[in-house]
Amino acid sequence: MKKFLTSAVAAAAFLAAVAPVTHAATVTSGFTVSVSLVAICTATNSGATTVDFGTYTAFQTADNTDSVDLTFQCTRGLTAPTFSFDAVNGSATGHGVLAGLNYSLVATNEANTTTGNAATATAGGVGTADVRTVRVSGTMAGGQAGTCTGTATTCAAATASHTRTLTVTY
Amino acid sequence: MPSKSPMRGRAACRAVALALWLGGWALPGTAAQSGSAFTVTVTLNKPAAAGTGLCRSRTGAGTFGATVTVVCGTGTVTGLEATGHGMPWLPMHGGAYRFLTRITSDELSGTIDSYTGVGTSTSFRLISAAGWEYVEMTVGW
Repeated sequence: MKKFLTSAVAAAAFLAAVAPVTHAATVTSGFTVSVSLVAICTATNSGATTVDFGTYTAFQTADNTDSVDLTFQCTRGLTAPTFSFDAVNGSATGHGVLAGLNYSLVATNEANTTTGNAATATAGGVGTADVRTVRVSGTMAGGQAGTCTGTATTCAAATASHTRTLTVTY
Repeated sequence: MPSKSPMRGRAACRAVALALWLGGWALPGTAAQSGSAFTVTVTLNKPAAAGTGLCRSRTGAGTFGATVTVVCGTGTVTGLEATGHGMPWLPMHGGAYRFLTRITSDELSGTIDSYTGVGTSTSFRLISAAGWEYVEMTVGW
């Protein structure tokens, strides 16, 4: 009996040796993930983008005013931008002339800036942009004569408009 | 055929690396810009009839510093805003404003012609208030 047991143990040991268990092995390799982000703000206006001073009667005492909200989506985290206007149809400080009438524009950051959601390390976890609203307020001072060449009913340039560009620097 | 020296190659690589590092370190912090176009518009009021452009004067005869608005083509008064002595009465066409005087009803009685000036008084009224009186008149000219 003792001899039988000894033989059985030896056979088991032999079988264990000829039928090895498969073990999973791991190995690591470090690498770098890199990107260079170019921060951008882009205009995303919808709807009317017109500063409409309406109808102006020469020498009227009241100012004509109007404003328009321009929206931009920006890279998250950018500081509040500064503004300037084109020098093509006016001055960089926002002054301009339409139908011989002087006007001024002022751009301000609105308080309703929406902070974008941060990206997350999940599938499809892209973030969203900061959305900034910039209000452009225009004032056409009263008491101006205007320019309208010709007779009062046929003079040209009674209705005038031109395009201005707001430049945001961030 | 001369062969390249390994020492010279390494020195050149170091120089290029140093230049790249310095260039990156000294990058100016340029601010980016973005633009948005919008329209500015106004309509200069055009009168319906010819010759009804508005002109203003503060130096016309009999205006006494008031601002007179007349139709440029016809001279018809369309507004009169008194300044200095007078105060606006009603913004009615034809010219009307309240002019404060020291005239009392006793002084006015029977001597109205002596107070007639340039123009025609189309209507007037004597207002008696507590302690003082004044004349409101409508004048056309």
